[in-house]
Amino acid sequence: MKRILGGLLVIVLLLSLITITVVAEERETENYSMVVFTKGAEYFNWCYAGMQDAAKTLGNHVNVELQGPSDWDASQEARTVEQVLAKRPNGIIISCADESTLIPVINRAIAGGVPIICFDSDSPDSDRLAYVGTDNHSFGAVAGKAIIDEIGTEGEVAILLVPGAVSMEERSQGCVDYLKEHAPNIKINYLNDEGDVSKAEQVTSALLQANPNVKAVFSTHGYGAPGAAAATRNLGKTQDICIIGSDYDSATLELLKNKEVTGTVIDDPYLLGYQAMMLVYASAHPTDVLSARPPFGHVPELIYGNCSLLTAEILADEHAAARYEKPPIID
Amino acid sequence: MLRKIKNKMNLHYLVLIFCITCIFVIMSIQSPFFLTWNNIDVLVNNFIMEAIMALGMTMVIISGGIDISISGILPFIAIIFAKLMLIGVNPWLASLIGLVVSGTIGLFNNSLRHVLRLHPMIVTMATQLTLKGLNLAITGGSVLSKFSRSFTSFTAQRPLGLSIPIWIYILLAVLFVALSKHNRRFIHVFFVGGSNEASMLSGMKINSIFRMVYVISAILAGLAGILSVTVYNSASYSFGQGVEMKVITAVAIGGTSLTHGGEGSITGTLLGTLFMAIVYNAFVMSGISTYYQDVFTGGMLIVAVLLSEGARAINKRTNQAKSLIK
Repeated sequence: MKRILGGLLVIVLLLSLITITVVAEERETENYSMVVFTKGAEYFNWCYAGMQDAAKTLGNHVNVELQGPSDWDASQEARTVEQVLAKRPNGIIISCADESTLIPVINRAIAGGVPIICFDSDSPDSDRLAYVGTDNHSFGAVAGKAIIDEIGTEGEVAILLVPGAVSMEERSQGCVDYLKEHAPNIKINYLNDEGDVSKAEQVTSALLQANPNVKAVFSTHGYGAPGAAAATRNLGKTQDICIIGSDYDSATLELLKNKEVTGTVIDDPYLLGYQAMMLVYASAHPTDVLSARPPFGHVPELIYGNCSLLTAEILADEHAAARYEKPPIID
Repeated sequence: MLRKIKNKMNLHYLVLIFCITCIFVIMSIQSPFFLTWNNIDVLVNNFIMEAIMALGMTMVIISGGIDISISGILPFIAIIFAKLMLIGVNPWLASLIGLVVSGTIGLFNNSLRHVLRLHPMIVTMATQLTLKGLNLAITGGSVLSKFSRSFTSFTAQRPLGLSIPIWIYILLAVLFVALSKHNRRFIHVFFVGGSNEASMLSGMKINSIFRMVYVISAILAGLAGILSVTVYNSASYSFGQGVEMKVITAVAIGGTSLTHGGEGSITGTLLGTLFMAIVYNAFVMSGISTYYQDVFTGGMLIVAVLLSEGARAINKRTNQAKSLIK
């Protein structure tokens, strides 16, 4: 009997030890949010897929969520950030609808000890800790080169953008600078399409009808190329106008395959989301390394990803195409 | 007539208060952060512009009209206010100019409605589109910001822990509730909305009533524009996208009839806006996809209209039965 009791005691002690060890190893749950504008856009779904995978890499204790308005309205996005902050998250990564409107809320978050990392679209005058994105000037230069390769050094080019959106203005400037350097005779027309596909179609149609010298259209955002393609289709000018888009989604890939869009300059949204998550996690976990922005962990202020031109020729390779197709579906 | 409306409104208030309480209880259990001062502050602040505009919209809808130009007026006045401040105009003077301009837009809306005998929906839609175009033309699409430090530090003040827009809203709400109950012109809005002809025959100056409601609605939209600049320290043409639908929904959920003029109340609108603010907050707090936010709000709008129409049908039958008995 004594032996049985002794055995039971040993088992209980062992089980207690195991339980204590497991509990000690269990980490406190951490919550991180991604806030975007135009939530639902395929581009941001790719970004969020990157964030989710980064969270998985970091461990089961890391929870992530995607928030943001479905409209391109910076004030609504700022409100969403306020609401997310009320949940006291461990960190937030934000793609800013414009560079100014989110400054007060970003600064409040930083002052309250919540690390903020901007990705894709920056708010450089805010107190955000870091920006993970694309060198938009180089991005625009890739478009400029593609335009010259297609139309030569004469003619006129239309650039679709939303004035005030920093990333688009930088892309536009990159394209213009490249064209000025390599094809100074090319004239530029700026079109504000409000970041909307139907508006892009309207303004492109109007310009193409009014100005037959326009030989190429560069959209500095993802919605412009499908709009411009619809305009050239309606006017029967699909073969005459070179369209260079930005970013990719299912619609743009289809237009590329049909050769209605000549090419689209792409960065890697998946990696932007992945890197931004890693940075926000690092800034929420300070180490012994002296940080440039205490009390947050040490993170680089700027990380740029690569950009390149995606064309129908590249998509003809099934292996390459598989990388861009089947976008993640996010609730 | 006013008693019938009152009974109907009381039922509506009860349903709304029940719904608000349910969401509050569920969310408090679901999220430890929901019932915190910080979140309540965010919850109210995040719907404050819509709440301010809903006061004016209630009067417009009770008068039998609608004003969808508010989503054009809000950014337009924000841009004018910001432009004036950037050229060095005193913020108080810039605010006054902004409010006068918005009042003029309200006058314009009413004049078009009156002179051309057009439905207010068409008139205010035309104003909205015109202003949206002007907003882009004035700003070139860029965001106006970088105001003086004295302005940004003044707007960041929180007297007694509440933001300036909340204080303004509290004052306006008290004023509107009092006016809608005791001011003759405000009470006349119900009669005009109930029946234009009867109001005219009883000697009311119905055009001046319409003028008043459209001017009030436009001024409140302008005020929301000015307050947006103080909150975000910037002004953009993209501000207030789709805000008119949120405001109209809040008013309808509050029990103001979209189908029949003369029915509604400011108190109902206060509850309707509170309901909307809680719903919007609950979606973000709970982590439920915000894609379903509009589905839910749309569903609630249908329920509100059905409730309003159901109560009207019951009243009608009761009256018929009473007259048959007599």
